[in-house]
Amino acid sequence: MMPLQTGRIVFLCLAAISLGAALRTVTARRLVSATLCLGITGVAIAGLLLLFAAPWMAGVQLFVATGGVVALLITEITAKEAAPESPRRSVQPGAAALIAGGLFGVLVWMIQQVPLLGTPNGPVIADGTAQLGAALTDPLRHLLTFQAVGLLLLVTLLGGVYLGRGR
Amino acid sequence: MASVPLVWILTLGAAIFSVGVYGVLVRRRLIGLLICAMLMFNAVVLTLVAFARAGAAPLDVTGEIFALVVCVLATATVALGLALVKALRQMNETATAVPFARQRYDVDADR
Repeated sequence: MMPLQTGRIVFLCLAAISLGAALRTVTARRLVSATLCLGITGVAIAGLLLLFAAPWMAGVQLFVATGGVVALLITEITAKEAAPESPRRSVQPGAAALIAGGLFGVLVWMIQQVPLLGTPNGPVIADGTAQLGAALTDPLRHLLTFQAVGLLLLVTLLGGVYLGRGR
Repeated sequence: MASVPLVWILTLGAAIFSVGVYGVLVRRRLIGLLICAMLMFNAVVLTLVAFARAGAAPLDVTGEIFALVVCVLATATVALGLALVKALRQMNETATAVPFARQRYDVDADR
């Protein structure tokens, strides 16, 4: 178990990196830059998941949600000319910032209203990956979820091939 | 869980989610919207794992499985979204389809 102060310092560093990269993701004019910043955010969040003793989820976040998606996006963006985005916006940035800030305020207010959130964090699962695998393949627990997710991925694959086929 | 208060984690998740909402509102390109949606998914996964690890039953893996399903959904969303963008590009190039993307969002704004 990581010492109290060290864990908090690591969390604050990763939080600053992820939040800064997230801000850069939405403000960068070039989509390639935005995608790379999204990748940095994903890596920082994977680090946070590792800090929370969820190494399997950190791996999924790192290799699938970050690596795979960023590679897909970069491929799609660089297939066309990666010109900077037009300054014309769908919503004025001031109004959008107001809406996003209001949403953040409401979320923080809701977080503060829940009394149980001040409790310390739980114990670490011993051999969590093995337990996760056992739960995913147990017919009485989450096998149906596992199969549903597999079916969803198959449908997504077929839909992607159908939509992206050449004419 | 390295003794990080849950409130900190949830606040960080809320902040990243709000930044993603801002991006969805100001971006015009469909790929830009997908990037910002992915940002919001990342925040949700962070929050779900935090709840799973610090909730009422931290030794149960159900919460992590739920987060895993959300992660897979996010990836499938982006894959299908990119396929849709490609299909819309082809429709615009034929000049026969209704260019609905140009009404509010552009597939290639500066092309």
